[in-house]
Amino acid sequence: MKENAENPAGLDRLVHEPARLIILTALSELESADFLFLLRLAGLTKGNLSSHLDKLEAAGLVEVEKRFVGKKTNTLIRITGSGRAAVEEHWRRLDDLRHRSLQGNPRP
Amino acid sequence: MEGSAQRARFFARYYADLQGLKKVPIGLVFLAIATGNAGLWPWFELWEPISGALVLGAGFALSWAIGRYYYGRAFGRVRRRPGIVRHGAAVTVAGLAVLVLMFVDAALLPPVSTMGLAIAAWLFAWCHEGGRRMAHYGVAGALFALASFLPLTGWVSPDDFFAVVLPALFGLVVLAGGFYDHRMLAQAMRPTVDEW
Repeated sequence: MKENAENPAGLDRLVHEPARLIILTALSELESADFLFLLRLAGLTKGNLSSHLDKLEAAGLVEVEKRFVGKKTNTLIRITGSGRAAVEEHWRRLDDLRHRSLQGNPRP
Repeated sequence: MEGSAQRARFFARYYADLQGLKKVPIGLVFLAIATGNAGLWPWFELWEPISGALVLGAGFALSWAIGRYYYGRAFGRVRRRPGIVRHGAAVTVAGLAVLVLMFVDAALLPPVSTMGLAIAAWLFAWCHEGGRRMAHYGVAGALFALASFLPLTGWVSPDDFFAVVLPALFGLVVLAGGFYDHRMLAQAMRPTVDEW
């Protein structure tokens, strides 16, 4: 199954995966964040975070910029316009799903 | 899952505001002012104009350095969205307005502290905006609202209230709130497994 295929509830699986939803939701509140901030906030390992960022970058939802600060490398991540739209749409669908389930009709 | 994502949203949005150790030097400055006015330091009056400015300047410089270096290295750096930056500027202006009210109170010695009420309103606004994770701001706001009426009760003279009680209360609340915010942030930004 394709990673970004939509499930029957209308949720984008690329965004819906828990770690990626945390990353995108946090980035949607910011102009940009560095790798360490996302690592700490999401509670992921470095390899795991890199893997998720690669997938999000490949889908065009985030931009990753590697640069030098002094002699150290610093990775800066920012959400793209389509990433922001995707996460906002995702939260809207989740709210809609919750609302429907409260009314006893979970199907969209 | 939703809870974790909403938690991430909260800590991303308020990351700069929850850097509690930045508030510690400010709290210490106000405690120094309160204890100095209470006469606990014999040399305070003599050196007050110079030491007050120096201590205040050093406090703000230390506060900036803690934010820049400690939090950046420990938990990472972020750049806030322009709307949030404007919001931060409004908070700073409100903070400066509170400082102006401190001088107004000190000059007029009103029966109800305008500075205390302004701080209470500011804290209530933060509590309202941040939700249950910012509930401690509401508690601090209630404390300031009640304390603002102390001169009216006659339990403490207006002179002592504005020179000692109010700065001491402000310093203690800033210190306690700073440590609480820092603890909350440090718990949320837990180290990852491969850092051990």
